[in-house]
Amino acid sequence: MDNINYITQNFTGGVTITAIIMLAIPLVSFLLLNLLGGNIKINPGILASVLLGLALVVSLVLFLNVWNSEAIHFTFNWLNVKTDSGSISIRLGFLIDNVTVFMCLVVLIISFAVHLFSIDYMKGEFHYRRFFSLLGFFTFSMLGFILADNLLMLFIFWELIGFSSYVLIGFWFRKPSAARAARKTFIVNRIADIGFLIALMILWSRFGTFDLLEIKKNIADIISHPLMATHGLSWLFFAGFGLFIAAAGKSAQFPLLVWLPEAMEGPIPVSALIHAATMVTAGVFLLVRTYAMLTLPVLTIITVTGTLSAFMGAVAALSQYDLKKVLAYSTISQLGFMIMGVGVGAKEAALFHLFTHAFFKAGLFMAAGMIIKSLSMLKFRLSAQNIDFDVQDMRLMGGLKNKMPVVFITFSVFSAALAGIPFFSGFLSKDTILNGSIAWAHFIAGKGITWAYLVPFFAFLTSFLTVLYIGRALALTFFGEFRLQKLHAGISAISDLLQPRPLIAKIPVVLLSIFSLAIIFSINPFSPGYSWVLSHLITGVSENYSTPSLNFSFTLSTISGHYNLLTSLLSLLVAVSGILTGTYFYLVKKNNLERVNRITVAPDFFQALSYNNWYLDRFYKFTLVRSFNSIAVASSWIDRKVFDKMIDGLGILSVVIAHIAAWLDRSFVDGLVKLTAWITRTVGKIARSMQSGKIQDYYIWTITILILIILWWFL
Amino acid sequence: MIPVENYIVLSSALFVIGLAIVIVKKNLIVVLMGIEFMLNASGINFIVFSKMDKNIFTGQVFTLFIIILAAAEAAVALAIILNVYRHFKTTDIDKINQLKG
Repeated sequence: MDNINYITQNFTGGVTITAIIMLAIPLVSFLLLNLLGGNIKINPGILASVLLGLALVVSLVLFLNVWNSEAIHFTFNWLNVKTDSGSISIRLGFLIDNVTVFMCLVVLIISFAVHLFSIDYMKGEFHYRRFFSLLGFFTFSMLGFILADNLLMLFIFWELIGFSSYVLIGFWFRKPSAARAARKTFIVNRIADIGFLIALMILWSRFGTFDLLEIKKNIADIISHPLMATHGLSWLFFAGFGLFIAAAGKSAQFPLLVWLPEAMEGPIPVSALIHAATMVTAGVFLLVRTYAMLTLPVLTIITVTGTLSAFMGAVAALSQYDLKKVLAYSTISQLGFMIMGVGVGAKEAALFHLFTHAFFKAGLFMAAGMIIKSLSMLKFRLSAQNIDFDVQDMRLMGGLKNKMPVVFITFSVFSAALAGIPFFSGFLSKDTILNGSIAWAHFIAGKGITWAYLVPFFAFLTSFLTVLYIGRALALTFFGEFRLQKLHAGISAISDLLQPRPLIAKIPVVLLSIFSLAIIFSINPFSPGYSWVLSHLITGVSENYSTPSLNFSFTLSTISGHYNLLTSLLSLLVAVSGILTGTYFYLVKKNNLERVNRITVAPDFFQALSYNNWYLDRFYKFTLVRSFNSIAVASSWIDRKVFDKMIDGLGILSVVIAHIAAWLDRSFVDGLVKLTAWITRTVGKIARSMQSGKIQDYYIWTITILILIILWWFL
Repeated sequence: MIPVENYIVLSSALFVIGLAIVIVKKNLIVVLMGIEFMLNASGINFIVFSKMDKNIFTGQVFTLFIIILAAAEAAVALAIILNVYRHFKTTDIDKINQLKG
């Protein structure tokens, strides 16, 4: 992305049309499934899967066309806003280069796999059709985000992704915990979006454009100007920091990582798609896309936060007994790795780890999903006998390696990839990031900051813990004896009722496990440098324009080659020692299973710290949630007592005025009418009295008028 | 000798009394009497004016005519009153208001 020449296309360019079609198909899936009635004969899952398969084929075409060929920049005018000095044009468009097409391919492979998997997993679900339509909508949002070329479009799709995740996590919205989890996700993401908005505002006010390439060029111009470079660029720092906060919210980094464990309330396919592969990686992708705008202090903050989150996630995963929660914390940890990779200047490595992690983490979730679905079916079958248990609880699993062999093999493959065992894809990508972190530490320490060595130290420690926790999950789930059967010893043949999943669920998982092998990504399984993915993601830097962050990244990538051997050896050491330790603790010393049982009842300090996710939730509840709740209560009090009373007062006032007006109407207007009538009547009465019929009255009138005439005559 | 204003005051007083009787009184016969009053008062007035001029007797002659006419008119009026009484069964003027309108 650094020195690529982008060819501009308009609507008729072949690549553009392909990209538009690829973007449109999931949207079509969403609309079709929403507009179809409930009585349609086609299975909505199969329809959605077919459409997504079509989109996958289109993205493959796009990939083959664009990979290592020309990169395309397509943009068009969307809105024109008239201002005093001319008009501002808001543009939309696509930026299609190596990173884009590979990411689209990964997203669509995983989305397609999740669609296939959900056909079995969500079978019998009441809102089956809605699920698939929402999956399609999410895929559309994610693809739009990947293709976007300017910050505004990125933000629009960022919000769409957040919204899709909200509806998907809260899919079983009638369950209060799920609704709460969805709300929490959305609110935490919203808090992070403040950062995005700040960055948008700063960059627009400085550059007048949202286009990524133009902003990069403008920043490079500013930096290269000799006078400017010495002035403070604090506004750029805040823009970069805002972007980092946004990424931290979406990618569950400290301190905004509290939503991801609770987001496991959603169905497993949702977790596989969103929380393993796509949505949480949107933060990392954003940072990579806007890498030019990040200044060196921001990069340091990013590094520290990434390392911290990786460590915290790994520690928290060590004591969970819910299988999905282990995977959730593992995701936080691996995202921490990616963010750390961006921070230390190895952004290509971060992207590479993003891609491999997508495959093996989604695979882990889906393999876990197969177990959980089988246990749910078992629970349903046993419900007549009043047996109730939590299907995700690892303490009740065990010994499943014989009963569900396919799941065991695939889960093992994914675990090996996660743990960074050689010959698996995770080893390659993690190795590259660790390499980058060591290079960074040497570079920074050379400038006098010695605490920089803590970063690779914690990175390697986290890798060690990764092996431990995933080994623990593997051991608890697949080895030993089936503890549910042991718990309900009276009920016979529980284990016989445990059915494996059908083929349509197994195929995507096996597919993903193939993608978790190292061979796919690199001919030499030990050296990531041979990886065809990595070598084409790395690009050079031209001297014509570049920004400090790009320079930094380039410098580090040149010196990181020195540390390859050291890193590989250290990674191997970590992996082997992790396996040995894990085997010893979890397989040999079986009493650790009792420790798992004790976690909820009587944990010691480290267990409690780990199990409660470093008490972050409780901290937030006591500080932020309480204060915001009291503000909300106070506002509602003001609203009810003050504003409503004012409005009531206005209402009463208008009624009083109406009464007064009625009285005025009755007295004056009617009075005038009555007065007129009275005058007429009285005059009439007087005039009538002349005709009383009494002779004496006639006499009186005659005499009176006669006298009046005489008086008038003579006066 | 006697100033003429006295005679005129007398005749106008009598006339006004007669008018008052006609206007106020309720009995038909009494109204008739009031009319006689007014006639006689006007007669006095005539005589007074004829007395002022030694050679003309017009006033005095006219008074004779008035008396005769008064008598004839009284006869006719009494006849009408009799018929009215026969019809309305009362002599109260206030009750005879069929011309009311």
